[in-house]
Amino acid sequence: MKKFRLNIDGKEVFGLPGQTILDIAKENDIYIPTLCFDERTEIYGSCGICVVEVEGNPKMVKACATEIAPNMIIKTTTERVRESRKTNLELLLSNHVGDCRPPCALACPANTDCQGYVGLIANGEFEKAIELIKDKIPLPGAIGRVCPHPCEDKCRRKLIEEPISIAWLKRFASDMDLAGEDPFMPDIAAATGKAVAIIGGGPMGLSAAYFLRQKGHDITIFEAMPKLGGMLRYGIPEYRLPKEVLDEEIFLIEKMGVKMVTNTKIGVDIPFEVIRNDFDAVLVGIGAWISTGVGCKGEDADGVIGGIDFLRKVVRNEEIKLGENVAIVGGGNTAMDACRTSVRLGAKKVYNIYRRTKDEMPADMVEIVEAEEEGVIFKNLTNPIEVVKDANGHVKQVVLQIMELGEPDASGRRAPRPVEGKTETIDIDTMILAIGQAVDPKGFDGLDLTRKKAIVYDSETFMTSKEGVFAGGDCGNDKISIAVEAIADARKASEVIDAYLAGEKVKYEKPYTVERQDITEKTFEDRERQCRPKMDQLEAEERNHNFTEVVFGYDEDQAMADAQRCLECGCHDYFECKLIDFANEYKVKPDRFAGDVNRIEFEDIHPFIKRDPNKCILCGLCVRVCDEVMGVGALGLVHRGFDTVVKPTLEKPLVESGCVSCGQCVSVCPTGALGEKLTIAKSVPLDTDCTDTTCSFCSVGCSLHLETYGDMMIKAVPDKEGAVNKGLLCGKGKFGFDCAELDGKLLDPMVKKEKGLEEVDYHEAFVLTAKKAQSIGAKYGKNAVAVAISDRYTNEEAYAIKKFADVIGAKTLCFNNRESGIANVLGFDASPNTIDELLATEVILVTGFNTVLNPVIQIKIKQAAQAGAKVVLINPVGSEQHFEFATKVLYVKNDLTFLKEVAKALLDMGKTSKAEGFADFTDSLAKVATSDDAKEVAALYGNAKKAMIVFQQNFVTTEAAALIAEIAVVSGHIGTPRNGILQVKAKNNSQGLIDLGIRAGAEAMKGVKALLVFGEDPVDADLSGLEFLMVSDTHMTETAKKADVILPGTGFASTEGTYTNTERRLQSVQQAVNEDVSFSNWEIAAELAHVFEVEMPWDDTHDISIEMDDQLYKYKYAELGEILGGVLAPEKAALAAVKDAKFVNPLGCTDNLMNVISERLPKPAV
Amino acid sequence: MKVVVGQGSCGVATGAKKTAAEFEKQIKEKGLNIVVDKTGCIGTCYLEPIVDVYDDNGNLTRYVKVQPEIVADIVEKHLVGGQVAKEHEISDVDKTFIGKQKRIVLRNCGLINPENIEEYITIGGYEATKKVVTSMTQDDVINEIKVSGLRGRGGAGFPTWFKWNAAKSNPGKEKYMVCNADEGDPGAFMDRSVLEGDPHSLIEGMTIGGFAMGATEGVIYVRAEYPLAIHRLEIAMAQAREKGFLGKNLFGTDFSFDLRIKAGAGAFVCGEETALIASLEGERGMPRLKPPFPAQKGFWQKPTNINNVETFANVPWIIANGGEAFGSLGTDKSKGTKVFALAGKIKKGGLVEVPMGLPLKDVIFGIGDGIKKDKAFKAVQMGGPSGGCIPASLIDTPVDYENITKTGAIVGSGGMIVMDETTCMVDMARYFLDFTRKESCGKCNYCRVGTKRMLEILERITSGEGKDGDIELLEELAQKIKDGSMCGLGQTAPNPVLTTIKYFRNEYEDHIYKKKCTAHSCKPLLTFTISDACKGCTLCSKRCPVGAIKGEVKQKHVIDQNVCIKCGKCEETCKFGAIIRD
Repeated sequence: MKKFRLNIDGKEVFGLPGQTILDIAKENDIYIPTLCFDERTEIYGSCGICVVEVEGNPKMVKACATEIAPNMIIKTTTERVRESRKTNLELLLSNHVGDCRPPCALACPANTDCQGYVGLIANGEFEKAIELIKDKIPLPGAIGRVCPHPCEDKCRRKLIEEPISIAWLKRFASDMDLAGEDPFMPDIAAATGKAVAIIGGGPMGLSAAYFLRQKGHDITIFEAMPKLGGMLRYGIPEYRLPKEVLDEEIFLIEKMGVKMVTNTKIGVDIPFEVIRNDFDAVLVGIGAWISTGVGCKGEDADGVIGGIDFLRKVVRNEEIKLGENVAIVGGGNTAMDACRTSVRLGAKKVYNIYRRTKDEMPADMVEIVEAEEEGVIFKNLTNPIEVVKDANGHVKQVVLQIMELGEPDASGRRAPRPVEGKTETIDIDTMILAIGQAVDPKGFDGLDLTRKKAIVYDSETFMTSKEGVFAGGDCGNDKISIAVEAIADARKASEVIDAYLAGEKVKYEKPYTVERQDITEKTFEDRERQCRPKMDQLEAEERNHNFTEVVFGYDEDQAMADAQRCLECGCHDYFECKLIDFANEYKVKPDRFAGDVNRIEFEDIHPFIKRDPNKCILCGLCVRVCDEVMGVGALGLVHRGFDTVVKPTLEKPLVESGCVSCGQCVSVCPTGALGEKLTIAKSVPLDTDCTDTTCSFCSVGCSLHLETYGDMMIKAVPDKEGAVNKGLLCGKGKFGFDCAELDGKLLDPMVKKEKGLEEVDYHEAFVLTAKKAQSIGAKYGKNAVAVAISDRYTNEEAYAIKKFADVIGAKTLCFNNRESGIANVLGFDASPNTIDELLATEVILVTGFNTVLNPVIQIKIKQAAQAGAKVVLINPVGSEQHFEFATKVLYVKNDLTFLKEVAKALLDMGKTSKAEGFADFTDSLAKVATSDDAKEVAALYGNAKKAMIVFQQNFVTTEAAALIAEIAVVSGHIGTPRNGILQVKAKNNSQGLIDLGIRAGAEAMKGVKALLVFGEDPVDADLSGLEFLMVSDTHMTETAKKADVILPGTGFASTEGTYTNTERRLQSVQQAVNEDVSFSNWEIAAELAHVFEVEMPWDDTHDISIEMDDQLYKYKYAELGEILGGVLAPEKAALAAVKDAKFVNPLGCTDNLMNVISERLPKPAV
Repeated sequence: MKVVVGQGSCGVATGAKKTAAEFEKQIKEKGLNIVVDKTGCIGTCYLEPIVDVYDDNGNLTRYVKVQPEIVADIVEKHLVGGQVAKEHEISDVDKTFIGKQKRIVLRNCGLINPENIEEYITIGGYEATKKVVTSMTQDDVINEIKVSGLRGRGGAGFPTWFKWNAAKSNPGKEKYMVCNADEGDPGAFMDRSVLEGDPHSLIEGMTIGGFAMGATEGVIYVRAEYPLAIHRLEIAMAQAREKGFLGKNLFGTDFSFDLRIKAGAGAFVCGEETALIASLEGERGMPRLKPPFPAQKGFWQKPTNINNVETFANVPWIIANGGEAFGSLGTDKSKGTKVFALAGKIKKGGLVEVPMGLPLKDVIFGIGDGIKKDKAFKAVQMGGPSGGCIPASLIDTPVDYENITKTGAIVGSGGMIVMDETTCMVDMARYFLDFTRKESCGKCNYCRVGTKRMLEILERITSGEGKDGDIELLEELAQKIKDGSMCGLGQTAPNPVLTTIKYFRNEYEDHIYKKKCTAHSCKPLLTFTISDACKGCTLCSKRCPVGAIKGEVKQKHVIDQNVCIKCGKCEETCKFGAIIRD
């Protein structure tokens, strides 16, 4: 077909007639945003985000819906296009109710992902928690101790009882990290060759060094004081922040390769100009180190000292003559620090002078309470008006003006005003002024200053009046604040500086988020009250005379318990939400359209699918994939206009709507309106990692993206590019991916002793197993020992286990193997044809099929029907299926009568075969009377040019399968493309086991006295005659309960290797997590072999794979994703007389994990 | 002698059934041999119930507003006495209402009994169908329609021949002819009138169209709110089938064509052709993207043509009289006649059919006889809720597709809502937008949320809370909604707002900046005061629901503005005109 030439955004591209603008843009990596498009569904065109301009067309067009024309010139980013998209998004967001981010994270100046790390702690993922914290806070040990935690002020848990102890949890994670052998270190990018000088080693300077060093820049911190830490070191007393903690955190930053030059004051020791010339960029973070006074008479007296000066002297062990009576003026944390330090230094009377009441004090309430416990005398509603000096000019007394509170001022605080004529005079030896601080900008000549002498910088670019000189933290813009604010500045400034060093100019902009304003106590009134765990701390009399840290910190249990209280406010889909991405890309301002929001009440009782229609943008994707891709139609649009809403069919709860729990709706939802209910201990929105692997349940072999965070499995998403599934997935694959990690997971080996199963060490378990197998083999002969290998295991695992079985001379079997009926006819136990051939054949006979076992196969058959294939379902009565798309559906007696009739009818039509045994076959059918139905089926199938039969091997009997193969052979529908049989095996790697030579089933148990079971739970098998049973599995299965030895097994997410699916396609399994188990499945085999002094020389599964490929010719040149052997034709088909048998006889599945997820999935409503 | 009682929905609504029953009763009592028959709406709905008395020579006497109590008088004087009951006869002025029209679509409405196919046949019915199927080719028919210049009367005015030809040219054995009888514009009822008064014209039109495009099946998608229309259609279809005018091998030819009715569930958007098709297929009535157009992939993905009732009703006339006869009417580009539903503050409301190109003034003043109570004509909303507002200054605009579109309004399905000086144009825009936004199917975001936000802005303007920038925000949203919506509903929903801003921006500004509604219509912006004309009768004080009016008997009363809820009860109550609304 002739290609069209077109131009998109100036790029000459080509496309075929019938393709849309969006298709061509995608093919050429030209990005056009869309919210409602999915290539698997009919074009819908509702969201309007994909609009573009086409030259010559006065209207904008939707890229998803506009077919290309020759010589089109398309522009995707014009002002008009951007404006339309922007307004469109604003309208969507004006009716979007939710919290993109939790209030805690939004309240944190540094935007620390509080919900994220709290959730990780709740899940026991402490290492990932500190990693997440250190993404924003380089000094979590210090900040976790001293931060006044604005996050907790906004924590909604306080609407129930108390906020989550977010700060203490940060400290907990940090303490765990620092106590470990290998504290977290961030990755450092390749060296950029750029050098940055950071002046001031306080929280701002250290943090900026941490962030900028990660980007690969060469960082030097110049610090005037002898040590780094700034106010954290010199302004906060030891009892609140032990210097040891600070030292360790600074050490980690130094270890990153940050140079730290101490005792060096810029402007004194090195001229500022020199620094400017020697470095590519300079960041000034010198803090505010001057104590400001109150301006009262006599303030210049000896014995009057600034609060931070006082604290610094204490830290530096400088001489301080406090005297007996000390007055500290001020109501902030510095004042409290000075009060409590004075107590500890032995002052008899410590006064706090503050002109308002305790309620207005800016200090943390806990500081005030603890100070009071330690004996500080609070002189609230007083203000110093005169310092009285003694003859030596030393402070003697202070005169205090008594105050009262007036009306609230602009800030909402009640302004203090003097009570005329009322004063009080107290005797003091020292007065400490902790009123405020100011910047000392000396030495930074040339930088513009504010009136208060702070350094001026642009609040978006952090650039000062000098090119390349940046500033932040307390020293700039009269913004003296808390440490975490300085750290926030450090991160924002680092981003800007990084861009500056790359020659770009960027501005820091606050990201847009949707926030809920309607949450009140009432929202949570049905929540159980559960206060935060009490934290141990020193009593007042234990602490008031020393500088020991007052609070001890949480232990693991306390931390996890507190973290569990988190209400999970922030949207769980934040990290994958397209709406919020676009909102920020287009810099939306939805407030201009503020109006009614469509509040929707909804049920949320589905066990796996979380719904919140208030976040729905009505893109219709869920409705359309459910209908068009899955053919289920469990969702629909209800009402009109602004009131339109997606609801389950007939407005029933989702579980009753016909939903098959495939989760397709969740996977396509562009917002948080549909999400997965996670099985991890605490659901938490996380920016996950993704591993491409293959589902480990049925034999279809759907490709998955497995999303993980650390060693937590979060969710599974069907791969739209998947060779087999092309984006399809069933409930088992979607929601069963983490079954191996569910509660009750086996972590340690066990051995049956007098009192039952007891945990033992691996050595004991391995030796016992090996010796038992050996001794029973010696006693009863080799046939008495068997090894059962699960067809859930990878080829590599199964190969290793079989090799071990060979070492001890045991036979191998898989309880899930049913003797192949087609093998007896065709000569091989493998599906002759492949799944997608169904989509292009003429007639499909489905003979013995239960959809729940392989839902994706059912969808493929449905797709085939939609493509024009005539489908006939023949199932026994009692196995009714939703096959509304079928041409004919027949429910027959559960024997071979009907299939025989079909065979006979085919013979009557003149079908014949030269295969061996044809005469016996014909004779055995001689007396069969054919029904009209059978004749009709035979005619349809027999007359088709191309026809396929589908059956499930473990559903139909061996005899039925043989007859099915015979029907195919006799009719000639065998051995060519789109013409043959799809034999559907039970499990993901059932075919792999056959190929490995593990072909026996339960029948091989005859005479077995010792059985080693790897990953199977054959509940129907009679194991009573065994003298020894070893079971390796992930959980305590029914079989494991009977075992003499149990070895923990692992699931598919922690291993690498291959599966061979039912159509003989070699599929890749990738490791996504580590399980908390010492030996992987193949390592158990290797360890057992080791007891027999046979070494298996593998380091990993890759080594096994290489050896396996050498042993198995078929796998030697096999490529991942490819079918092994193509369409199979029988070399020499063999027919036989048809015996009487049942039609179907389902074989119970021996994979415990598959049984668990099958049980957990809601049964679809009929 | 024959008595014919008009029994369209308008007649029935005013009590025509009782009138007819009364005639039957009295005729029976008097032992007269006179048939009481029925017919559809003749268009002068404001005169219903209308009773036509035909003498044995076929001469017609028309009586209007015939309530049952005056039946005896007419029976006595006319049926018994043979004299015209002058006092009940239609006035000369009212006669001109019909007289100034040119009736093609409505040619049989109000004249024949729609439930009797014989009457239709008598006046030449089904001759056109016969001519087409027995003597013309598909191309002949399409060419005749092309010559006529007939354009779709549903609103868009797309050339009918072109659509038929497209449907004919697209390959496929199965094709469908669909009639859109989902008449949804408030105040528009021309389709209903044809369905109720002349259903056979529609059947003929569809059959001829079906022949031309090669369809063998037709579907009439009619709103379930038109039960009488459905009833009469069913009767007409049954009678036509019996006569062999529908069904297999029409007039002994190879051509077979049959019809069925699909009752719509009352969604305005189903008047949009792709939404109509979705609804026909049993899906939610939501528009689909075009292309593919219905002529390519329509009903069940087969080539489909959709026209509305009025379009089809023209077809038999065109075939019978020739395309050129039709083309000689109207203007160069807008040929033939168009039916309008004249409503609002007009003296004579009803259905009028006029040649295209007649100045608006001639319709409103010439036929409609001007504004009620002789107030000042302010504007006319044309084309229903998706249309626009034409101000008094443009009253000379010729009524045809091109000229009306130039004003920002549209011909649409033919709604004409006349407004006088007491109509607030902002409130009017709010009213129409409220209609369309409720009827949005909810698919396109711009239409679903955008119209809602526009409505909220209009609501705040009419309630006195408008803000600087609101007009600009309305204009911005309106343009983006037009640009960003998939179907005609969204693309036209902002029209009433845009046209009122265009022609009456000052009214918007008065609401926003002066907090005044100059039409004295928006209640939150009104103040009611009492003038010296007050006689102190105390009636207003008693009627005031909130006790805002104080005053002694025979003393001038006063309204407490802080308490007043501006309900206007006092104004209604006052017999002395002392209440001043400002």
